[in-house]
Amino acid sequence: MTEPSGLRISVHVSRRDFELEVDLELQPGGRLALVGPSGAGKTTILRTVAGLVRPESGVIDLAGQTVFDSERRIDVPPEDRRCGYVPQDYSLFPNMSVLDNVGFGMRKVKAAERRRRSVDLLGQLGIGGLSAVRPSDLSGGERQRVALARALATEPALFLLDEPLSALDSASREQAIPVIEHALAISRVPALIVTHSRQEAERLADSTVIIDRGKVSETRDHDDGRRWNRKPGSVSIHRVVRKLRD
Amino acid sequence: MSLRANRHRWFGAVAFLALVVTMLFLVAPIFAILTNTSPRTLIDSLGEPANREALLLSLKTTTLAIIIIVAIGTPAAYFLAMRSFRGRSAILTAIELPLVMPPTVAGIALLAAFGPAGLFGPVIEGLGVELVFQTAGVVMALVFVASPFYLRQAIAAFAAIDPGLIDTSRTLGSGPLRTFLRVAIPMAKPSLASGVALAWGRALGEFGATLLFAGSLVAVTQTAPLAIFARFSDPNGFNQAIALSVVLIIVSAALLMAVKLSGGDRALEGRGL
Repeated sequence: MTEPSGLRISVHVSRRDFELEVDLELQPGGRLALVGPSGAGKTTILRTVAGLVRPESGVIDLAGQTVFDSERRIDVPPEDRRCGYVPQDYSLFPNMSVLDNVGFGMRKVKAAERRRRSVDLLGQLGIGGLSAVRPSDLSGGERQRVALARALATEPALFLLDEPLSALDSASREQAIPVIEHALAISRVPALIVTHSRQEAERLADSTVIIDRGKVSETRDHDDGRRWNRKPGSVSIHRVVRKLRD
Repeated sequence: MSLRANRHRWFGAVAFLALVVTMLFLVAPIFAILTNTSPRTLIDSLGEPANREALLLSLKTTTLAIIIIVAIGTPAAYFLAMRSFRGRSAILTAIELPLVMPPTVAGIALLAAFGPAGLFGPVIEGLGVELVFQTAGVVMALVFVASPFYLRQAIAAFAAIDPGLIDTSRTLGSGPLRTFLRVAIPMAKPSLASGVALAWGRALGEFGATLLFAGSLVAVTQTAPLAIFARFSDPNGFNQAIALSVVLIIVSAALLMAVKLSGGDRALEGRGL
């Protein structure tokens, strides 16, 4: 069992066109970037941790709780995993205002308190004036901030960011990176970040796993640039394998 | 002017002409009915207790039928839209079958299934429920013929929702039920409203299945369309038939418009081009 607030995932996922085996550990507060081309299985790893993809076998421990164990038939549903998942397109609810989007995940919180916390989070991410706006009227960068605020509002045990910068133009990316760093700093929980850019990975995460054609080609600890660094308290990647059937 | 611009202008003119022909064809009979009766005849006809009973029964039974269709059909449509399983295509075809079934065949089918000598007749009788020649039978016939109109719209509406929104709702702590109520239904609302309008319109106009399954008993099973036919069959009742038809047209149009407007039907807005 991993330490409280950490993540350990050791699963086998089988899909029509590929098989994925992943075995990794993320210590409290660690930030791991999964880097690789499209179709490498990076998003599948995130969705598996979030409970949106059911592995064929394996174990996932999150924040001191086993959320998936094929042998013990444990499969905690996504709504109880406490993952702050920010999908690639941000998936903001188009029929709700920004405020309602952020407050959506605050269940069992009274309306006044939910509103106060939502306004506070929006203010912290620099979009306090957009509470009443609908997502369709927001820019890409603003949408991203709303999605981050919405994930933060659930007080997650783990952040899952899927290509957080891919929907932005180059100028917006530069502005978005400090916002993401700020959001992760507020949450103080570990984060898995999917990106296809090594530069973005180095700026957003402590460590990077590079997946090329389904296999780990390189891992790097950004602190000292050493490869295959497994010092205690950092990321420990054992194996990530993807086999194409054809 | 270029050839391309000319072609665009011609197509616009032809499309507009097609719209005029369509409108004339659809509106002419309605216009004829509306102008064929005087307000005095209309009021006199509505003064007839049997006619009032028929209109009230139509409103009561169609409202009940729509409530049943929406209450059961919405989660069923959501399930069909979100899940992929063996036999799904067969279920979709079976759901749409009443759309192409002649109403009289629908009535015979209902009798064969739920009539006293039908497949489930003994079970229904055992429960102490009477359907044939009863108002409950009218509601059942309406649900049978009208539900596919709602189900088709609802399935298409739910299937069009971005699956990412459903997934995101789940990761934000909402279980399947809350996701259905807070995300899926509001997103599908305009199409669901259109489905309600279509199903309600179909139920209001239902004739054949009701006649065969529930009969045409005044104040019990004689809905407005059945009353219109009864007046039409009477040598002196043509004016009353027309008056009832006018009321039915007005009620149908009002319902259709109200439901569509309340659901924010995007087809009502156009694209403003």
